[in-house]
Amino acid sequence: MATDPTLAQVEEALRDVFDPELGYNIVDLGLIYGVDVKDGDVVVVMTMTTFGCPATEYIVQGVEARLAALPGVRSVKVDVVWSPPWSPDLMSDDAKAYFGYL
Amino acid sequence: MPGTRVSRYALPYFAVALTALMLAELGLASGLFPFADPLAPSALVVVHLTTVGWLTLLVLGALSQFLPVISARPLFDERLSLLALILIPTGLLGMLLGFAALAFGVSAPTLPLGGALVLFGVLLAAWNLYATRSRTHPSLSSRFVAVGLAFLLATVLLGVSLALLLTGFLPLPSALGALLLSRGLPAHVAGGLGGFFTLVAMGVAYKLLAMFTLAPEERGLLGSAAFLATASGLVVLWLSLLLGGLLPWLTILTPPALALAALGIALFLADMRRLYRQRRRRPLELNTAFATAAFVALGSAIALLLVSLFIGSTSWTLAAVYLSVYGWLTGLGLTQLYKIVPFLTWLERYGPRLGKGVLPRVQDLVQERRAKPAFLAYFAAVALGTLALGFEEAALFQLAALVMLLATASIGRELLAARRVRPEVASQGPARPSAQAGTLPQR
Repeated sequence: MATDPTLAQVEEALRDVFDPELGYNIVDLGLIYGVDVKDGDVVVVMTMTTFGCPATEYIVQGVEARLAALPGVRSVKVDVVWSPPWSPDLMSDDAKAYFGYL
Repeated sequence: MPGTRVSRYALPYFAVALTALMLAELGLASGLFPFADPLAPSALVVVHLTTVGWLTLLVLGALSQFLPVISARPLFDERLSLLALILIPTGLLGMLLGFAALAFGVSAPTLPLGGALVLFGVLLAAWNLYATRSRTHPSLSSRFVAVGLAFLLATVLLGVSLALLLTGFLPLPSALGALLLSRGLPAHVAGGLGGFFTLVAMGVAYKLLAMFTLAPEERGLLGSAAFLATASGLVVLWLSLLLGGLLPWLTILTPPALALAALGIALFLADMRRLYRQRRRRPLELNTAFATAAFVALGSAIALLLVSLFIGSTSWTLAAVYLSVYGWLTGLGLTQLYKIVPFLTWLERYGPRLGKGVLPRVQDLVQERRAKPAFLAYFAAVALGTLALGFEEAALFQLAALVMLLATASIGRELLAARRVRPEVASQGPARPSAQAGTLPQR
């Protein structure tokens, strides 16, 4: 039986998925609210920058595709939640600096 | 999932709309808009190419994509969008032929027939959008859009009535017909320009600019006050203009209603200024930077309108209307198309490949430095055209219109360039800071 990917590996993989309009990866934008990895099943809880964003389905599919390609991953489930709502304050310092907010 | 997909017909709407705009600008540059007679048949050709062909199709195309975003619901029926896209330009063509016939003293049935097709197309599009709206918590943006759509229906219905009257197909007693013409036309202009276009543009601006600049979407009291004052002012203004002939006491309400709508727009502009100051995305992109020129045009147009009505100057009133149509509405439309078209293109071309390899960002599909002179030229030409109209300098106005046409064509070329698939941009990839593993929260 393959071993589960580590959280660091999941995080690194998720940095390959980005918000197309902002042009920045979803991890540093603060869109990922939580990750759970157990027996090859990955659950990601995340949000979008705005309610009803037209890129929502593509970003979710991107997360699923990218994580499914990780060794040891059997299934990927993405839960999109709107509470708490996303705010620019959730961005990493790198992202804040990129947008001139820091 | 409350996300929405790309509307299949938004981009075709934009393509037809931009073509109509360039034809209208060609008409202006060719002198088809005689200063002495703004209601001449040739002027009506230019006016309806701009309002029906460009602005109506632009707004309906944009709403077919962004009302689902505002409401977090998919579009009710894509087929209705297609049907409206066929009916409205076909009807417009009939109207233009009808106006051309009027120039030769002929009342062609294509004018009311075309108007009826436009009305039918607009009804379908409006129903499609109405059925898409949020039924739970209407946002500030969707409240602007809902009142705007009601004005769209009223404006088109009134327009068709005027077309029937002008061509002799609406048999009204002559006194009543004259009353409808004299009162209906100002109401048609105010309902279309203020009620439909401006309210919808304000609503869309609230959503899009907050999204693009990372500013708070919740606008609080100032946003609500802007909506209430503008919408209620325009509703009373429209009623007093239309029915003032039959109920003279209503005309007393015209000046305060206009003042209330102007106050609402002033509050909106103040809130937009606040929104830009609150933004977390400090460097402005081309679309958000030049949107400020559209806001300046809106504020200037309202000030010019109030002053020109006060001093009774027809030429400056015309200049104010022109500035609101080409500076505010068209300016906002062109600047936001510069963002929307690449964004929709990205979703269509690259969206399904996200997470499966290196992809470009939306920003990589455009070259802002190359497009900037076209936007500068466009807004400068609109300012020149406004002054030329006010001072009744026909040749200068035509020159300004020619520059507007060239600038619009250049912006159109940039949009086409964004649509082209360029494999080399895919290698750039998105901004990616050095990984700092261990920041992800575990559930």
